Amino acid sequence: MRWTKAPGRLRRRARGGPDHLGSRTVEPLPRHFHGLPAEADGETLPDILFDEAFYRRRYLDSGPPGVDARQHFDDRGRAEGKAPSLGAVYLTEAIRRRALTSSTPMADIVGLVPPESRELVRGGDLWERLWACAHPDLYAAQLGRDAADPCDADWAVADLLAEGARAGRRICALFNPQWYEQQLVDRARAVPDGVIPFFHWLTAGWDARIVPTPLFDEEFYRQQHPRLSGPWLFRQYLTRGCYRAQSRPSPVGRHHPGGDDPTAQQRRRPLLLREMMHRRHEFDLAQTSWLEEGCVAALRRYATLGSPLMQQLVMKAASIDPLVTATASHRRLVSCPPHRHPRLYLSEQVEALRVGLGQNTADTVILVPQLVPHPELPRALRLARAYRDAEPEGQVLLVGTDEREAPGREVDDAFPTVDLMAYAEGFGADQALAMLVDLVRGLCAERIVVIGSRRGQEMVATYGRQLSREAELGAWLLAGQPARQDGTTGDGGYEELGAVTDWFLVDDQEVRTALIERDALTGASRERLFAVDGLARPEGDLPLLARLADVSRRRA
Amino acid sequence: MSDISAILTAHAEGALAALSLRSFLEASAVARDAGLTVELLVVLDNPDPATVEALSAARRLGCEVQRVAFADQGLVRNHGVKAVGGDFIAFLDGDDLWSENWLVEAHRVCRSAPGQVIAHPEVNWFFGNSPWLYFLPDQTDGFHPSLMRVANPWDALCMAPAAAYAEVPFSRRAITDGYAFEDWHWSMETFAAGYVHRVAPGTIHFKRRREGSQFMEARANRSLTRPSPVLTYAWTEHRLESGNADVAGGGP
Repeated sequence: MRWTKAPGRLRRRARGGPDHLGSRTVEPLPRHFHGLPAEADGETLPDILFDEAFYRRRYLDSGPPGVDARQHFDDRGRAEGKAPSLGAVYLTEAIRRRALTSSTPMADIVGLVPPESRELVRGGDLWERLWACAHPDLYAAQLGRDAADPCDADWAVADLLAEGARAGRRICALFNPQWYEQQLVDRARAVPDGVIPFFHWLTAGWDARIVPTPLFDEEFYRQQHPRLSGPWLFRQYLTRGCYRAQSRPSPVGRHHPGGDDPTAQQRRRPLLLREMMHRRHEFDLAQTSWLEEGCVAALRRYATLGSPLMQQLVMKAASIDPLVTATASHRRLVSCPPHRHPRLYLSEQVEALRVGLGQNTADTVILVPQLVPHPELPRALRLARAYRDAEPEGQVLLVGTDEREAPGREVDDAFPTVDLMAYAEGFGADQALAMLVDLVRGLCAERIVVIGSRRGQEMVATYGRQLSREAELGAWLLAGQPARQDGTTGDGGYEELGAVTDWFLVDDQEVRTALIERDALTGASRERLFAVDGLARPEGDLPLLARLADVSRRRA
Repeated sequence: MSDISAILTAHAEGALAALSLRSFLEASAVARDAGLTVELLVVLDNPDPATVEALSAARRLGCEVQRVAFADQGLVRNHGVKAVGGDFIAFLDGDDLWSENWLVEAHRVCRSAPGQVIAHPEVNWFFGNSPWLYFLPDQTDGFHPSLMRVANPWDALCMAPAAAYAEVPFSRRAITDGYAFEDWHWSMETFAAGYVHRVAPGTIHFKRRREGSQFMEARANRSLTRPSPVLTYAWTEHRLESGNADVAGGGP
């Protein structure tokens, strides 16, 4: 089985499964076709959208001999909803949309294709290429929309064919008009007047295997992925590679912040789209982007190594140590800040977080999995209020570290919050962790408390020995949380955090006792473990905080 | 007092140190040909016999040679700074190479604003394992200090005013405490002190990447840089409010 796209939704069909037309069995159409849209009834079907062989094979094989296929379509087939060509099957929604503003919608769409390549219009290959290139979020951004319907490449393609191409919009993140035109110049060719560059590439450029983007280097990609084969790996990258985190398309970077996204291909959201859309309002996305400009600048710097001076310097060094030039140049990675660097986008995001937070310091930083809704939040708020009561001048910050905050819900106006994942989405684990470390060090936090936060636990487990020199570390252990690395149900991180954390809280004495017995805790370790509800109240939590501070001081 | 003090540090590079010495001497000769005076110092830190052998010709070829026992790259460099008297100091590690024009071009950049500029090569050409080309950023060309919070833009194989090394000495290595990346820390501290990190166009450092290097060890050990003002939000905000992030605010 495979998934095929129909407008606005996914439908499943059997690969190669037959359509039944009367008594005959023919290959299924690549998408549902219910006839040319009524909106185009006033326009004669352009010849190029009629494929006699296709029509005859599909509809007339068992008919009487000598029937004029085109006449048959005009007289009956059109009204009966028969498909005039494979190409036309792809275009119905675009024709419908174009008909809203034009009396010749089909001719207009056919006219997008360069005259010398117009034969491609009849068949399905050209349109399959176009659908493979469709990145609806990029397209939607040029219309001022935050995002397209995640699945709706059909919407984007139809809009492109109906209006967008003439308006200069870009549908394909891997097509850069200026880069493509330069590739043509390098081959002593050019886009003819009146032809839209993207459609020139989609036909002539595709057939000539021209890579139309600075984001992909065919030779480098082949070296990085030796198991891939084929004469033109750009096609593989366009259709599959750009959705996979492990792809290495260019010496100047992987073009994404490291995280995988299993839904990327289904959503038609190449991983590089995140960096491409970065600072989107500073760039004309129809032409270029932050990512592409950075790559072009980096490649330009790379090219300077070909100057006579640099070549002479390299050769001189190689005369001292031949290993200098032992590696072929196309296998070298290139970094070039502020244009391209593996951590450049991370540096942009940590700065965006700093600016978005709007405060420079926080005395206490409390890390929870998610700001709202999450069961750990009441504990975090209780602790936050306790610290506020104990230190009225102190600042408490709540940080959601693992999952995005649910929209439209407030945590507690009394405390500032920050949703780390609003900035760390798409990052690999290492870089998201680096962002959290930057946050707590950037704020000069005097106290860091982990309450159920997986990323917080990871931070303390990884960098606890350093952070414990810079801040008081605490954790509220949650019974029944899956915390151990083997996935078994544990106490919320006691084993991982024990060596460097100053103190631990648990909900009640029963949990405390169980932990002490399970781990055979001795004096010093017991003293760091506190049951919140077991403490004397009317004074509130202040005695508890005093004891925590005391434990921390003694450990320091 | 010489224009430039060039310092080659070595430890256990073995025969590779002889290649670095050759590069060291050739760049010095080019600088002398350009009319600069160059003082040459080789510092051996707990050297193994092969490294001693590789550098045995250094004294005969005009270098002063000193042996120390710090087992710490930062402390070796600090020692070297105290042992020389040039206006500007340039370091070379015992398994790396300079492009032959490095000293001349770096000196030209440093002299453009005496006492304020630290010069870096245009390219770090990493060879051996994981070949990589790193074009170093020029602080006056679109650089944002937030990059320093998550990556080290520069390294210590640069040329800087002697006063910069005195004002901002290298930190002791403390990898067991989880702190490493002394170059990174030095970059941040000099940046915070107001020095301007510039690139000397048309120059290359050839840097050998080996398994087990200190950088690789620090990465594997999940080390962090030592705390620095540059890592804090308060410093960043102050920096950005007080002037252009690309240009150092006030020299030393």
